[in-house]
Amino acid sequence: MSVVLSTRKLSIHYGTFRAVNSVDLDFEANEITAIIGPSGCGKSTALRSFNRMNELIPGTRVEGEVLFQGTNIYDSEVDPVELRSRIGMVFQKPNPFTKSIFQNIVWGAKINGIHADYDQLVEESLKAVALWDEVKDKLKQSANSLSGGQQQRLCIARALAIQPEILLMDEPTSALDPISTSRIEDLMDELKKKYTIIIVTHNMQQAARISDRTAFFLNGDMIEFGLTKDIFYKPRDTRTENYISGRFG
Amino acid sequence: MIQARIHFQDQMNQLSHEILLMGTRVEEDLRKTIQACRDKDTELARTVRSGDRDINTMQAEIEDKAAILLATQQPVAGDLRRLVAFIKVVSDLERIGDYTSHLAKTVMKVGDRNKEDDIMRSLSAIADKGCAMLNQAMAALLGNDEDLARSTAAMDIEIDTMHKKVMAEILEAMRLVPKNVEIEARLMRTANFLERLGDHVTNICESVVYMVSGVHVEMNE
Repeated sequence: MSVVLSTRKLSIHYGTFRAVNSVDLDFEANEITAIIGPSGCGKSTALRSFNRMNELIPGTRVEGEVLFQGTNIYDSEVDPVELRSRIGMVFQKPNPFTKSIFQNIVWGAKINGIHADYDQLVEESLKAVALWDEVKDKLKQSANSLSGGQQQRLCIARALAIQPEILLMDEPTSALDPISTSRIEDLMDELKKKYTIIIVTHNMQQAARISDRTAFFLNGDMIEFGLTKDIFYKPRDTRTENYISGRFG
Repeated sequence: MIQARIHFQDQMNQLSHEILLMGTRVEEDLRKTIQACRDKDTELARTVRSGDRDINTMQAEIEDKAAILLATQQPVAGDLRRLVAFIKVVSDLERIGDYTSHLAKTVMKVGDRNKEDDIMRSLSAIADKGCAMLNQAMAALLGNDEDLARSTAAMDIEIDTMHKKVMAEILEAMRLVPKNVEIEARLMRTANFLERLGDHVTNICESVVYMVSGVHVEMNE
């Protein structure tokens, strides 16, 4: 296994408020890492910092390092747009463009300078998220005509079309029904063969089901990080145990 | 932050209470049987035997409740290990109940004969030791006391020693009066069951260690 993304003493401030406090984490390639913790613990803030999405929030300040293949992504010479094409993001609510299904895949690739056989790119991306058979005959239809679960898979396909190495997922199934959720979870298991996935989830059963490693955040601190089977079976820290057992949250 | 899962904790506490009741019932039956053994009280022994079905029912009820909690509450970590331990412990308690019932039947079969007095005394001493171990093992289970579980399991060696001694006594009795071989064979089986009783108490102690620490230990060596 090899580490593709690391944080070193990562702290993130919103104005005077410190949302993430000196976090060290190593994300292994081709694994799913779940970040869990109660609301306001800093998990989504940390996730957004992994491809500099947090910079879009005024007053954000980052200390420490986020190392992607050995380079600190906050170095001045790193282009955040190029970075985000290599570290993609899937959000909580499906957010397809108000364009056709075809254009949803192609548009992102085009503006990221990917010159390809777009028919092939669309087919491959949609097949990768197991959506091709459902939409191949209506590629010109609006993406908004799809169900919520299909829209989310389309958004994942759109992220994959840019050929990222890491996929960040911020509660990607919280707006979906159980069947759509399980399809996304199955998909993630398939996708990790090619990509590294970091997911923030409020659903602890989901973290337990799908992830290889889990990090538990509380009040901006990373309390415990380890193999998911250990975190959910024999956590070392009482605070982790109390949280995953649902005793607070 | 909000304290949560009060309903689940209530159900876990209720289950602990039911296991305590089952453990107490098994221990009580064992005590009564030891008493019956010492007093040659076949009527008391009969009462114990007729109550064995209650213990089986308790086991089934606790297992069902634990399974429902697993299915509906999806416990993790310490809660999960506790439920797994509970399911294992009730199985051990049920077996201890069976061995108690067997001892009670032996008391009924021996009746008021005098020839087997020494052996019956030895058997009741083993049962007495097993009963003391069971009491401590249940205290360790309900008090999450790993140290008590380990020290209780260590007592099993005393049962093994007593078992060897009574087996020698039975063999000697067989040699001396071969025509009593049928009753002596039963006493031999009873002695073996009492030795197994100690093993099942040791299993409970192993479950306590697993529940508290998540580590599987083998104490029956």
